[in-house]
Amino acid sequence: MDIENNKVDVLVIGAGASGAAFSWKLAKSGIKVMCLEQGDWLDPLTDYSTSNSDWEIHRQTDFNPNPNFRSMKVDYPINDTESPIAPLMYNAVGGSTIHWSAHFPRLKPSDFRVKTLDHVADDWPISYFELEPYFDLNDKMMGVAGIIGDPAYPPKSPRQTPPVGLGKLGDKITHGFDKLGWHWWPSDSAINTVDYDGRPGCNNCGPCDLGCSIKAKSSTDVTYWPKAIKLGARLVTNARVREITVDRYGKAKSAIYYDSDGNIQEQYASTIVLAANGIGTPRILLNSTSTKFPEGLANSSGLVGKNLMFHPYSIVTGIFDEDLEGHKGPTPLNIICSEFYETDHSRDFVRGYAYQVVRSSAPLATALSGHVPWGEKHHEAFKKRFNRTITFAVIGEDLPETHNKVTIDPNLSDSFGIPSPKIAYRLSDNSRKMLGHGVKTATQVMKAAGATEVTHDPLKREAGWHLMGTTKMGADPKDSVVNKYGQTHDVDNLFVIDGSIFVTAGAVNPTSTIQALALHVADHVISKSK
Amino acid sequence: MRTLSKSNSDTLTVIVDLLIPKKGSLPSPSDINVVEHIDDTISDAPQLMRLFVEGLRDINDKDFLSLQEKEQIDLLQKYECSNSLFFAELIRHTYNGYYTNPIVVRAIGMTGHPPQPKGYNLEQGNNFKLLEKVRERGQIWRNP
Repeated sequence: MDIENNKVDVLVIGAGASGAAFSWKLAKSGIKVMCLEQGDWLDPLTDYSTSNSDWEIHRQTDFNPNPNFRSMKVDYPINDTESPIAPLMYNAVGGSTIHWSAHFPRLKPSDFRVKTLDHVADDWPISYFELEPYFDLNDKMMGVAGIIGDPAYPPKSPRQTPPVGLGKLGDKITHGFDKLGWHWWPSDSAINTVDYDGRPGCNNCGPCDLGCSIKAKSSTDVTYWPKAIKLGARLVTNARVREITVDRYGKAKSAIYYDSDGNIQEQYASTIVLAANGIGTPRILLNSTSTKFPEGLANSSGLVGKNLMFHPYSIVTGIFDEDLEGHKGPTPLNIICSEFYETDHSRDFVRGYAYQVVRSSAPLATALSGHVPWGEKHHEAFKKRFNRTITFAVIGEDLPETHNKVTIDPNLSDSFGIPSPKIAYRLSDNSRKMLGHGVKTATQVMKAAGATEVTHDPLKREAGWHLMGTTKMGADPKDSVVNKYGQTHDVDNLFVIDGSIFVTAGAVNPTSTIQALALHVADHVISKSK
Repeated sequence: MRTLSKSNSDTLTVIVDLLIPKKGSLPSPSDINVVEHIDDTISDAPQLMRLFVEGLRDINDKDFLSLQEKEQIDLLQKYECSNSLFFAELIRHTYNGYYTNPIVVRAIGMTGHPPQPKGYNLEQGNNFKLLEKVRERGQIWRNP
């Protein structure tokens, strides 16, 4: 093997939210960057189901967010039997932005300083304001719908498109917030509401989670990747990485992967960057054992895989008397309530939570909600709920705990024999109290808005969308895996840029912050290469 | 039918119509080929096929088709507890076939076409003006 001819400047593993942003930034600066992605390209016109009558069934099959249920060749199984929350992800160019709801809030300034402010967990080695230029750049690249002036954030630059429409349902629920005098705001959404950057405005079809066939939703296969490839980035699909090798000096040398035919390949690189999500990244590091790194690569702290954070969710659903046309518009209505986001010492928990407002379920999802019995009362129960529900996803801040972790399962592997991850996770007492508080206040809003009945699920199982914390960022190599530039303390040419590097989780969706961090790390890698 | 025998198909036809009775403009599942939908689905899924074939055979063994409607419902209610795995799949695939049928989707008040390519007209809403009050209440983010 001619190593020099088969060597790239930078090799990125994972083509999702962070890998796409990072690769674009490097390609723009002229660096030779290659990305290995275990999934494939999806064609929005032919691979998404929303133009077919059976579209809702695809949530149970090829578009099930849980890889254990989806069980496609590009997926790896995850042992989640010791977790009340199931991890969710999608494996394709675009990663989980293919099936995400495109909620795009940033973490808030206090999220980066929880130790200083609230004496829990750790402060981040970087602040909101240091990341701000990267948030702004990323917003332009992704295209964000929203309204500036939210008093729950420092002032932001103008949003690229107007906010997602409220519709009848949004008008109904915002009256509830207004009556109580509580905060609500149209949350930033990575959805074009009008034409932007060569992509059309949303036509309000509804199911964003099944992929957007008109490309109005900003998944990175339609935002960053076309631009990155035009600038010279090389993207190799169906490339499943088994491990990262090191040279005799302990530097990252190559990635060994299986290609689409199942043949082993080895790709050499001067710098290797992991962007494989909060479970996939520790999986690769823990599978990359060697004499020099017997406990896994970059794991001298013993923290690779530890501190796994999800955002635990409670689901609160209000039923209303009138038809709210709840099937019209992006399912995530993208209203956020930050009334209870910041710590209030009069409560019995620290940190806080937010609610996101979700429109009514589609017909099949309504029927399968568990509230529509079979038999003579079937139609009555269906009619009571269909288009007449509003749901709050109460999203709580999950604090890091080392017993919540990703390890390698000795008995489980993917279709190529690469050992699979196992999750161990317990909901903390603080999170439980926080969600309980959230259910009570969310119920108040529903009633203020006129709900005739309110139900709730205290902890939604199929809700592990956000995977964070498993290669923690920090200044001290004994207490963290990477530094403020995503560079591992143990291997100076190895970086991590996905949600794994989060120190704490905040209580909002992480993608905007993940991508801002990836762009920040990219600037560091570019400056070092000069 | 690709998989179901005549007797299993006949039994399933009666069962799905008990699960979702015909009402007004809403058809019965057998009117809109839900049994064929289930047969197609299980034909491509060996484990599911076994579950359905065995479950239906078990129900047939109790002379299900010769029972009065009330007795059939009672038997299904008992079966829901004693063979919950099969019953859950029976419900899921019956609902899958029923609520993805354009006739039903129209009958419940939607247009009947899938979400794309037409999408829907969404009213922008009247309440963005209420944000002024939220703004007036002042900063709530915590400056560290």
